[in-house]
Amino acid sequence: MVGDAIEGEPSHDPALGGERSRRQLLSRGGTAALGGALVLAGCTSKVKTPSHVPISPKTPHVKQDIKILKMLLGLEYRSIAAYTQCIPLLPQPAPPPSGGSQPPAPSPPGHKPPPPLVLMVPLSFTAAQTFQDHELSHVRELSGFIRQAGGKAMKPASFYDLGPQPKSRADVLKVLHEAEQKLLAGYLGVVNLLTPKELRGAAAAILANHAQHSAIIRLELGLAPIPGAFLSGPE
Amino acid sequence: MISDGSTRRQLLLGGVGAAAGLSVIGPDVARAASGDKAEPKVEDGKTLERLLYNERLLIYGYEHALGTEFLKHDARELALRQLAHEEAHVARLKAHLSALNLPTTTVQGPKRKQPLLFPPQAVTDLFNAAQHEHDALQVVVQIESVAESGYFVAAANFHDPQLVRLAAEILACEAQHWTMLVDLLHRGDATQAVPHPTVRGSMHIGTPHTTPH
Repeated sequence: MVGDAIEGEPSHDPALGGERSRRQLLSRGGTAALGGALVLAGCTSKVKTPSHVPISPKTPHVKQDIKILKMLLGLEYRSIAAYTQCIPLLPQPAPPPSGGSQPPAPSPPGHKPPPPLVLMVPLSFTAAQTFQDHELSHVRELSGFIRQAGGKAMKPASFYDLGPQPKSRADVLKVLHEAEQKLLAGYLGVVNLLTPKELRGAAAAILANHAQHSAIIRLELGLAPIPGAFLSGPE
Repeated sequence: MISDGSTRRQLLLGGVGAAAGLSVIGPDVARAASGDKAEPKVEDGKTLERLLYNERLLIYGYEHALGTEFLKHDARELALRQLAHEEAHVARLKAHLSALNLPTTTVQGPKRKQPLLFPPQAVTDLFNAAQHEHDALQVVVQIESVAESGYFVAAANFHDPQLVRLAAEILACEAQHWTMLVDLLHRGDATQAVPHPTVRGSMHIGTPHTTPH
């Protein structure tokens, strides 16, 4: 079962915040796919119609826009399923040594400067949950656009084939990396095909968020976090 | 000290920076959003010119931060890598601008009574006030936000589909730069390094309210 922690990794504290507990319950209630579907079903009921993108059933090429938006929605659902499967397998962040995540306060003039900053990225349970929350937000936004355009936003599939069950921390990260890479390719492939310019901007803004997720996951995987100056460039 | 990256960004996006008397960077970026009815090719050229301004500011920021000698180890390496990306962006933007074959006066518009100050005073002031590594990095973070804003607007406003894609690609890259810098500042707290579900940047640069001076 996916809810079991990876051997050798710190276990999770079930007594943490409310949202976390809710999602833990959902993801541990059965298979990853079922847990993911429950989370997804919950998120689709909160769709609001966005007002900053002027798309309507009368917009030119609206059918093509709906088709593209549905493709992106499908990728977001798949990614949420991946996070739902993987989050319980990620370690809790270690308690901060002092001052939480805050950088050290600058010393007064004349005192010894703070120690050099060191790049650290523990992709923790909490961080992955934040990333999944972002994906849920994208689902709400895309679903809103589809409805505004006169289409019907589909619900998530009951099962997503995410490959073999992750057995190690590296496996978990690879599943998440693959999900984010698919999203990057998906958004990049269609961003200039959307008709209203505001919709292109919205897609670019989401694409950039996935690029941020990808950078963190890649860093944790030991890959170059930013493979190149251009997203489509060679790695 | 950065206490909350997301809050800072939200405040900047909400224009609090401007309200507090802070300098506004790249005023032409805002003009791009208003959509004057020029020829598409000319509009694209003007947008490219604005993006180049932001990129030059980024290069200035990275070079200046490196020149302060505050940056050590990881910060120095990161700054050098990201500086190389900015140089690649400049080369690509220049190539596209050149391919449009527009007269310089058309792209740059009528001469200003007061030429745009480069670097902007707000940036100079921030670097002058920097005392440590994280101060210098914070300045670069703010310039990255300005660049993000420019590419976000450009992705919507470009007429040429190739340029739309280019703007989206570079927006993604600048967002990754921002993330890596903030991750460094927050010692690996990925929730601070990726605080929002979308990346739209900020048009303002000002004294970071999170840094006591």
